[in-house]
Amino acid sequence: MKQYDAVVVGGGHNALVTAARLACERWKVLVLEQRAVLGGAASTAEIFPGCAVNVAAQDAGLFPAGFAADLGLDAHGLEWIHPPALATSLTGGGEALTLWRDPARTRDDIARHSRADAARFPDWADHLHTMARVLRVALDHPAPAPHDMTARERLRLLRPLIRAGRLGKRTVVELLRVAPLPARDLLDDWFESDALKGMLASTALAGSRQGPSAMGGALRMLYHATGCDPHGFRSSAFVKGGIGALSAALAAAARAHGAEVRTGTEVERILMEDGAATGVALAGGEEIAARCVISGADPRRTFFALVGAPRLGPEFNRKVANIQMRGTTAVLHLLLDGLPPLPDAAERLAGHTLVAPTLDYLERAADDAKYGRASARPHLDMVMPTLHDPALAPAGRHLASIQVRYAPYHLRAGSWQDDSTHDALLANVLTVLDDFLPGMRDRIVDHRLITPLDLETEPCLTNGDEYHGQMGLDQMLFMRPIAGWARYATPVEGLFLCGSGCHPGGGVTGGPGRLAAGAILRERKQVARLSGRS
Amino acid sequence: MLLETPFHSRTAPLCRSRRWRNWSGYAAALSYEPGHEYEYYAVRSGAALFDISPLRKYEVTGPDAAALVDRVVTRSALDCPVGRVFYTPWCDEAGKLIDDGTVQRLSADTFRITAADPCLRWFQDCALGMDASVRDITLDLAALALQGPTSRDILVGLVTGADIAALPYFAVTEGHIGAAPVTITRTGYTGDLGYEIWLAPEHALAVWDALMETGRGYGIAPAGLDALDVARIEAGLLLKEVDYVSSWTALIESRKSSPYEAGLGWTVQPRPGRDFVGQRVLEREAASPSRWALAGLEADWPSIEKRFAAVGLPPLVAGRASREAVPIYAHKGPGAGRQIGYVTSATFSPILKKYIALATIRRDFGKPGTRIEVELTVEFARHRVPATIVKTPFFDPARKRG
Repeated sequence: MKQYDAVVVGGGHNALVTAARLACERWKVLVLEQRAVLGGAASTAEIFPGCAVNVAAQDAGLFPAGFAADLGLDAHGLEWIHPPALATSLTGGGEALTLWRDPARTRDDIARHSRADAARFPDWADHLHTMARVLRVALDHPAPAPHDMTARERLRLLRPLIRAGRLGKRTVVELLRVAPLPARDLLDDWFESDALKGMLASTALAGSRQGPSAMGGALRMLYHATGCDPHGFRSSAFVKGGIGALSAALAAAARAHGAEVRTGTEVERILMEDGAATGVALAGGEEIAARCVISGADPRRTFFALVGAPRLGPEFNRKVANIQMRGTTAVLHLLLDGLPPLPDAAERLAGHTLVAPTLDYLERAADDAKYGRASARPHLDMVMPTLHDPALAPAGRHLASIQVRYAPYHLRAGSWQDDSTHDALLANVLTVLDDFLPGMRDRIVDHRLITPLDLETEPCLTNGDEYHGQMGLDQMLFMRPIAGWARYATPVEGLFLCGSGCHPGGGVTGGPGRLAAGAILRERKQVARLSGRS
Repeated sequence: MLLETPFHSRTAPLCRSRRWRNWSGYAAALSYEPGHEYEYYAVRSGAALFDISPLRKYEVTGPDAAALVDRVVTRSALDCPVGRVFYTPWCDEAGKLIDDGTVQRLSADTFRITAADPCLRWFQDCALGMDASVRDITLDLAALALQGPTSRDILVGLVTGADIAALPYFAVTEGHIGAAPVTITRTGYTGDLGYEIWLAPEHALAVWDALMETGRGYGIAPAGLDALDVARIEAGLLLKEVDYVSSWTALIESRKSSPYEAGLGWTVQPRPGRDFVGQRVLEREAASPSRWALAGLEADWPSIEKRFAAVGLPPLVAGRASREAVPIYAHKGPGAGRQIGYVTSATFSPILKKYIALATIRRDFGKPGTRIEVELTVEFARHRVPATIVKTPFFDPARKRG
């Protein structure tokens, strides 16, 4: 039987990052993806005939361009797109507020709502940028291990601390003040315009079920800005050919270093002997041996479905069972035969188009989710990729992918399997579109609504949680995925995690995959050293 | 307010001492008479009837029931035939004791587990991913222990539908007492011939009355926890939170005990392919033993008498079993006088006429016959009296198994 150094379970973007990194170190790596397409939640599929649609994730602004260059992804066809408009907030009655990459244009746009806010915005952008840079340091390094403060551990913390310290002690302290704040409190400190505040707060909603008034929202705002561009909004970048092209480039880089990538291959369980992982068993019955197994699946799926709870300790299992995994987002894909009648639509709608008119609007949408209902008036985050990448659809057609928040996975009444639940959410979205983007409905040629249940079935996201675990203060850094196990190793020797459920977290960041590869290399070197000695 | 067991309306008028103790939230008699001696002798020469309803009871059912029990406890549950009972502790992931109790196998996929303290969540956590369910049946099951040399004769005359005379040690059977369906196990906490009777609470009073009535000619006496405590020390049986500290309640790591450290090494039964909670750690411990062990000891009675006589007193040893930790010192040789352990339970054994104790002691001092010294306080002054390590149980009559 062929023996691999590592079998990687799943072909999501993080798994591919880990595979590529290990392959660079001359590891014999095999990636096994259940679906026909790579990328997991960051994949592009032909949802409408002749169209390349980003199934779930749209934006790769958190994927460090430098890291992509290190992996040589540009040589494998990766091209970034940065449309001039970052985001446009629809404020009702055909009105819109756009944040641009050009600060002067942003200022003019905001000034139409509030001169004071327009004047403050450059400072805000600077503030957000500085904070995000400090947070970035924490995300670039393995999570600290405060429960295990050995001398070595302290030494390891030194570098990030020095790096963060260089950004200014005051900034670090300010980050500690700001991170736990509700988005509302932070924004009320800065601005007066409801439209601007609603728009900025929308970045605090992704990855959580909680609304803008809940603690920890500011942390998510910062997290989504850790791409570290100085525009005062979330980091945003699109990939030419769809987000799946990033995953394809990663796979190509891995293959170029000798990794094998097999699609349409479902791993049924992880094989173990004496408490150590020895390989995987495929759905067809085939067994593949490997020195270590690396799972890009979310922690709960990895431990309960692939390893099996009875093979793990009850104390550990309880913690895994208690990871907050709550899908909150549905995605509505639309095929359009033209643009909605908004002035400068082609330019303004090329980034994110938001329905987040006020903080209260977002709060009410979250209230519904709190009580297990889909939002009656949902928050929408729409990307029309054909505006910056026309090749994605046939000529004359446009695509729009709308993240609909909130569509909680766990509904108090009914289920996502019911047509009525499905249709009701669709109707809610279309009504909101009528109010905020009149005329849009008339352009729709075809649609496809992807519910949190669909996300659980197709890219295998437990509870439809595309972040593999909610992004909150209690589930970040050394508490991600669970306290004491934030270093990619697991209680099963030779089994590692590398997906979004790990530090630094969800989104198309490549972070967990990159740090996991580093941790695995270190750990295996240590094992080799110890076994070499004996 | 403390809860009342299903037998309370019978036990309360009998409890002339009015001495009650909180046992898992229930009022449990310490002794029915002002002193416990009579009740103790009922255990050893007649029959003592204990209300043990406050024990925690769990039912495990389902296709994976055996696998689940086998995962939880240190002894191999798969090796337990239907109709048998076994005593076992269970451990946390670090191989430290959580609790201990008996496991009855009622059918291929039905088990009953008794525990000193609530363990439902733990059992259910262990059941994650298995096709088995765990139910707390503490309230659904009243329980009595009938312990002593005449206990068999009482039950033989009383129980229908089961062959009590042929019921082996640590076996379980179903039968009736009068109209009441009962489960009878040949188990107990006294180290004597004895049985435990498990029944639905609505039959509690009828069964109590039938036992007391039939038992009258056999020297039956209702007995409380004081008598039980003396008997269980004689039998060398451990008491949770006294002889060992549960890993759930220990405030510091060093207070926790592994089964090996608590004299329960014989209950650790790894098997190829088995993976019970704590197994891997315990296998390592078996290979390189801990420095702590459980030991029984016998204090030198003449030395105790002498210490008391010196101040003009007769030996004043506690009438009841003592749960006070008392230091133990090395007797002779290198390191003489150094503390090497501590007594966890001690009692004067009325039947052996000896002062006996269970102790946690350094393993190298735990061999039977080793001479050691135990602290003894006489008139507010601390002394050391010689003692000898002996094998447990201290008292082990043939009738227990016979």
